[in-house]
Amino acid sequence: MTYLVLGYAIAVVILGGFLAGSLIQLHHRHHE
Amino acid sequence: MAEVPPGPTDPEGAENRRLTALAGVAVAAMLVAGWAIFVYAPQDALQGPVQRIFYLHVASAVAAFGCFAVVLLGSLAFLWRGSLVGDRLGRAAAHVGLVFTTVTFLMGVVWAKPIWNWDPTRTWDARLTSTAALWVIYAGYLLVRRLAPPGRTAMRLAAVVGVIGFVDVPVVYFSVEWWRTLHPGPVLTAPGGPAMPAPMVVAYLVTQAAVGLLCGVLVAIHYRVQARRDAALARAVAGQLELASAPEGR
Repeated sequence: MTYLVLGYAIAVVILGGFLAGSLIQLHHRHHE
Repeated sequence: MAEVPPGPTDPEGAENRRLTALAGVAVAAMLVAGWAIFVYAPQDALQGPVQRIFYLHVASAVAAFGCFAVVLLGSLAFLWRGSLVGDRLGRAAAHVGLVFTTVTFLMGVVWAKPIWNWDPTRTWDARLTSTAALWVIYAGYLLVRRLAPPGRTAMRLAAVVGVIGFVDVPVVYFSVEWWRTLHPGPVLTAPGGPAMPAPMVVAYLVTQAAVGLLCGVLVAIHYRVQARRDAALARAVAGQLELASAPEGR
């Protein structure tokens, strides 16, 4: 059970972090 | 530089909101996949709870392969026709593919530890090794873009890596048949049909659909971010050229 939780915790952190970072980049707009 | 607040009539803001809404749908789909994995799918009699790693591990691998196929097609479109859309699509898909490869790799290592009491640093498993090579190849693809002089040179070099690097994708896929090492052979595409009960196959298909949606949304978001960067760079270059060509004293 520990390994199952560890495996999915890693996946959630990576995918969740990447999605959050992607959305931040999408909404962060500048003009030059 | 000043922040631009998105307005209700701003078409770029509307597109961003559409992509954000799609990201929300993808997150909801992933929650449904979570229910399928942890509630709907039966427990494996031999491996116990840790077998449930299979669903997201395999779905992420398929998503990564799909991304790298997009990198291949984008790279070919750039090399053949000079397609900037192809180059941008390749860039976006490489980022996303690398993330799904990381998820696949780490979940596989976590699964293997209790099943084989496996120390991955001592075992040159063919699937593990070829997947590690895949990660390095596409990290290299992104690194080339950063290190090469910007513009067409970086695009051409990255496109060559994108085409040659794809050779490793079938190597990863067939590694379990070509070399008999530790990784299990095909389960879903086993001869004579999937080698698992129907509810497990359904749970996998639900997870695969959710991961496919998330993957597509992420590629679309990164495509948009890259397109905006390209436009900003083009504006900056045009501004420099204008300055350089302006007559002195004005």
